[in-house]
Amino acid sequence: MNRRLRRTLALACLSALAAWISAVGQEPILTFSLDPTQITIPQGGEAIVVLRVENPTVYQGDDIEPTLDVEGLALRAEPEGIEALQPFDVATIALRLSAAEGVPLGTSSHVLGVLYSYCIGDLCFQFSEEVPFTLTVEPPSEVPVELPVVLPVESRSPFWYGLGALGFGILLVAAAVAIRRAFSTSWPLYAVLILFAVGGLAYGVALNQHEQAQGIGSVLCTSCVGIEEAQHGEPELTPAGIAAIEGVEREIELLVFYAKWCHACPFAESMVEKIGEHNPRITYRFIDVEEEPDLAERSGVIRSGRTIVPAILRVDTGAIVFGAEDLEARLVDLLEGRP
Amino acid sequence: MKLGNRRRIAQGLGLLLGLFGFTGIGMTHLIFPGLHCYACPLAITVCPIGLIQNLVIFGTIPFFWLGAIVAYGLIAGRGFCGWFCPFGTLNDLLSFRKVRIRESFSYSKYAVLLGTLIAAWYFADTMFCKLCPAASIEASIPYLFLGVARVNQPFLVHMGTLAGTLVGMVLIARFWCRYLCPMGAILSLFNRVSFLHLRLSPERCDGCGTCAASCPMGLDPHLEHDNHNCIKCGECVEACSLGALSLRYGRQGKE
Repeated sequence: MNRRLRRTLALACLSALAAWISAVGQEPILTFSLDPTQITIPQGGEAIVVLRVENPTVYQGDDIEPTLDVEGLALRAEPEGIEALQPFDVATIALRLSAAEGVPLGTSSHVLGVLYSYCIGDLCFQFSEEVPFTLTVEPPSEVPVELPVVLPVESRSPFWYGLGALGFGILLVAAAVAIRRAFSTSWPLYAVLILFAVGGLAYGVALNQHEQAQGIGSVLCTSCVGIEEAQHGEPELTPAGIAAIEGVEREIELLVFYAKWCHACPFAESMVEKIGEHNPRITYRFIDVEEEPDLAERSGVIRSGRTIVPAILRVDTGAIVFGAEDLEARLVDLLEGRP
Repeated sequence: MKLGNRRRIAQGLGLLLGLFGFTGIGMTHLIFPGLHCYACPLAITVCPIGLIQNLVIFGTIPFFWLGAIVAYGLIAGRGFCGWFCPFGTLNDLLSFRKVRIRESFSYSKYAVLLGTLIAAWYFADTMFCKLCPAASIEASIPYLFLGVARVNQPFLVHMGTLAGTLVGMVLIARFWCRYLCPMGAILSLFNRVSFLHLRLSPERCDGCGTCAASCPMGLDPHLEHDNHNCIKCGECVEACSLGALSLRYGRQGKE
């Protein structure tokens, strides 16, 4: 194979790689489609459409909920939403649209909103997607509309996704080998690498990935770096703990610092709520560190730019308990003034 | 200035960048060109291995990360291990036994890298960070003194991996860099194209092997000056009395 052909092949591999990367969306993770997208509805009547939700990723989509903000048009979903959509699954939601009698006749374009979130570790992300549709309002009709049977959730084999990943890997290696053979250590190789570095950094900054990197670095997920085990579920106070909490005679205020993305925080919040139920002299406030960063910093919850949550501060002494592991015993110590 | 002194200054700067948080500057957008835990209370840069695990978990195509890594690879390749990485500096401090490298074992760091990425995807968690000895020193221990960490099972696991790594470092110079570092695995891919490189003048080399005895990575620089494991520390350059080896900065293969 001559040198020019090898270079052409290398460039073709690179282009294919770039095209593949460009074709893959970053976020959000779910895709939505409406059937039909052209909806006809009589004044004062109803129409049925089906919202198809597809999860082509390895992450679980949570709390998927359709919303509609069109004057004179009401939405009722069956089911109301999807609590969890597993990786590679597809689900459908039947939407019953009800038009008021005064809705003007004619055709107009609208969007159906879909709210959903997904969580990875301690980080949760919420998205608001829009699915466009065309609405045609006709004169009133007497024909009754039946809700279609909601299709069951379809499970997909991850085989094709695995095959895609394998294909991508082979393409990547082929590109690397082709570049290596075509350019050796001559200047075009350096040109390609410099272009890749500059392009990657520039495109990454354009996508705000530098902010994402800073955000990841700014957050101290205590369970992620192996400082403690993550705590989940509803906390239970022990009889000894309850007795100690009920024995506190001073007025004590606790500040519970949390963040929306923190999975261990609900455990800590719930624990403090239970303590408050057992002893009304112990009051508490929940502080979102992202909304009140100054208070968090003054309280020592943000140190060197690192947000540490969950954190519980006893206001009168300034003592802080970080994390959620072995929390009851540590909170009892905090309330009793023990270090 | 002697090459060794220049390297110590550069290592000092690496440590300074790693601990620059004492100024209160907070976390920046920079990715560190070595293994340095971003959970460290004084860190101002993001650990590339911690970040890529998170990006795998998020399903993000890491353009920014890739751009930075290729840039670092081009600038110095594994030279960052020898000249800048704070954990590499710790390896240096414990380099007592410069034994020969087992070339086949050195590929285990690629397995660590691959395992790190697969584990991040499979468990949706930063599994490597829970074991990383750099995190043991830079996060677990400082947070113990700051009252955030406690002596619990994850802490003991961290201490266990740290102890194992330290023993390895004492028994084999640059043990972590040779066999286990995932960041070293990434940077070593660029060793043959990085601007910082080791150059051999064959006409001056008499094959005495002095350079091999001085190499902390256990390589034979006069036989394999562009080896993927070479951290370009320049120990061999200083050891060679004939001046057959030199550290150069520029396009490789030009000479």
